[in-house]
Amino acid sequence: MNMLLNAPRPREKKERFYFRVKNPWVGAILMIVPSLLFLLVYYFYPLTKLIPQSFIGPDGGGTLALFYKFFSSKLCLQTLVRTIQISALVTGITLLLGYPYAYLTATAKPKVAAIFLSMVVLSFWISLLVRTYSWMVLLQRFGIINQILLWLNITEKPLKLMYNQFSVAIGMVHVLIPFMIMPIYSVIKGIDKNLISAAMTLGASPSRAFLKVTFPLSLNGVAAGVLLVFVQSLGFYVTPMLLGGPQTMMISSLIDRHMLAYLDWPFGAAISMVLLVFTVIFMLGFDRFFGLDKLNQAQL
Amino acid sequence: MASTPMLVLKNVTKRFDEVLAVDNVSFDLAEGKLLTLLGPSGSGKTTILNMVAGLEIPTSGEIWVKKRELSSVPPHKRGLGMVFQNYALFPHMTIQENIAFPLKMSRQYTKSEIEVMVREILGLVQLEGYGKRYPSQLSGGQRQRIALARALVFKPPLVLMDEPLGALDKKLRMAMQLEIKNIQQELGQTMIYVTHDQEEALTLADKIAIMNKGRIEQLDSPSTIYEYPANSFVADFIGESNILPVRVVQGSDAGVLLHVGSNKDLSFTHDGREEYVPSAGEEMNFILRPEKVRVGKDLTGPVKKLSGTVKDVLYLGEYIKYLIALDDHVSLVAKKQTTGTEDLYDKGEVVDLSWPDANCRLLRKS
Repeated sequence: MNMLLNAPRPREKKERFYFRVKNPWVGAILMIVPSLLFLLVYYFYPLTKLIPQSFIGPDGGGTLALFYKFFSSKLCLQTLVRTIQISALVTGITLLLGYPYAYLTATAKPKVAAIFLSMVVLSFWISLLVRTYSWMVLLQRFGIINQILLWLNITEKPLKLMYNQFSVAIGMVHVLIPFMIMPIYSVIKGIDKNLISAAMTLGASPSRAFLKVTFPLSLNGVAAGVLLVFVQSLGFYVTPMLLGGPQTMMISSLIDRHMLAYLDWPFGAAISMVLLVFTVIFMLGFDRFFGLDKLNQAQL
Repeated sequence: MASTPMLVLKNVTKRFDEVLAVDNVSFDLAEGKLLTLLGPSGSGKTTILNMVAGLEIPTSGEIWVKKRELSSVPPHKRGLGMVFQNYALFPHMTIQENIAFPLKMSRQYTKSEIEVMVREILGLVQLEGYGKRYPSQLSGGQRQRIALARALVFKPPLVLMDEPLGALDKKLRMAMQLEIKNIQQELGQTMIYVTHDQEEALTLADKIAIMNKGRIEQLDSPSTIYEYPANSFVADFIGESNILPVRVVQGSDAGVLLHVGSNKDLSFTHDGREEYVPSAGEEMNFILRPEKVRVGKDLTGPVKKLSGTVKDVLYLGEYIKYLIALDDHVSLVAKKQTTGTEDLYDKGEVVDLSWPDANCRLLRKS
């Protein structure tokens, strides 16, 4: 009743003093200097040593002979094509498995979502080698899976589960699926729930609301996940080495073989260049269609 | 004309775990009318709206729209329009696609019909030619109109609006209020409108439901709510009120004698308006609107109700507010329109106070 007496008194603002740089870019650039230096020393500098070896001949002149050698070698071409195939396969499987997982996590109740997320993060904490060796234990000729199949009389002879594309793909999917789940999860999580409610009050059944609203709005996350998984797959090394055989060699193993087994550094450098160029071409093409700048935006 | 009401709520209750969000609410709404649900945050108004829309399931009770019981019908089969506070326009669709969305979902219209309907509704909200743009290219007010257009385009029997103007600035909000009112009346659209802004509720509504703690405190026309608040909560919530604690000395069907503060006599003639006749000794609230209080000097006889000392004077442009102390504990506020010719009173002056009894209420303490 006493509106005069109860009128809220404006709170006094305390002046805060802190150091300000006038141009916000200065601060931003200062902050990335350490990581930039690290990259310069440990990434760009080695590259400048490696790359020239691929096109500078023994006489010191420029030559494309090593690239000619690469593209005329059946083994090299097969390996390149196989690398792209396996990467595409792995990307496809991680997407098929990862999308529903990300969707459920993003729409689940907080407690359930926390469990789902920690299962994804947990796999980051276990060494890549350990994870790959566990697959060996499972998939070996007399590994757990074969023993169970034999015991159940489903097969008479142990199945050949290792050293083929299947084992390579399964191991890579396991390692890479968090990179698919996380961006999709964060994008779906960022979609305004009212949009789904709105779609439903406007006559869309839950499945149509998903198809017309949630799914199109989650494509940014899908694009980010596809990019992360595919690019990493192209250069994958440990898992294909351990779970694959000579028939499933990927391009990183080829580089390894030429550099460390044959000590042919120039040719190894040339293959690295091919891998690098392919990766860049893929990213440029991707940028063309999806726009890399959009990848970290939760919403349009 | 005894038509069946457009919307009927029967004993609707909603519980979230331990919290009773909506407590046994019943009301009906006639076709073509606009009802605002007005109340402080957490009073259950949005929950009621969501239950009508189908986004929440009532714990118990019935919701009828056009003689159809809805409480087990999923939202997409209810066919009601809803406007959300943050507009909820689909960011990946153009304005045209947004508005066409409910028409496409219903699968009742051909492409050319949809085109015509979208164009018509864009005309109604005065945004012709904006169809090809995306929501992000529009201003807040424009997005609001599109959200309204999207909820109206499929001619739903009932449109639900959840604080639709909450995100707009005051000036735009007032313009939009009038526009919504015009559109609503032009189409004869039945609407429920949730707001916590009482001015907005008074501007728009045919009927206002004042909500508090999950219950409807009063459902009436704006003027009835303002002039005859049903209880102290409503009196306090709508507009400004002097709520004076009084003790009943003597009561009858026609009038009562009250004691205000330290035993100041106050007589109140209610002419039987009050449903409740108090008995002597009861503690009650005397409700008096500040703008009904007349301040003057040397008022005598039945005109004079009380006298007091001016404690404070606030000049607010359109009007002047006096804080008048009746004694050491009780004071009231009087509001006078500034006309330029009226008498002004200074701090410390003793003034007489008067008001018409018809504009006052004697209510039980809530």
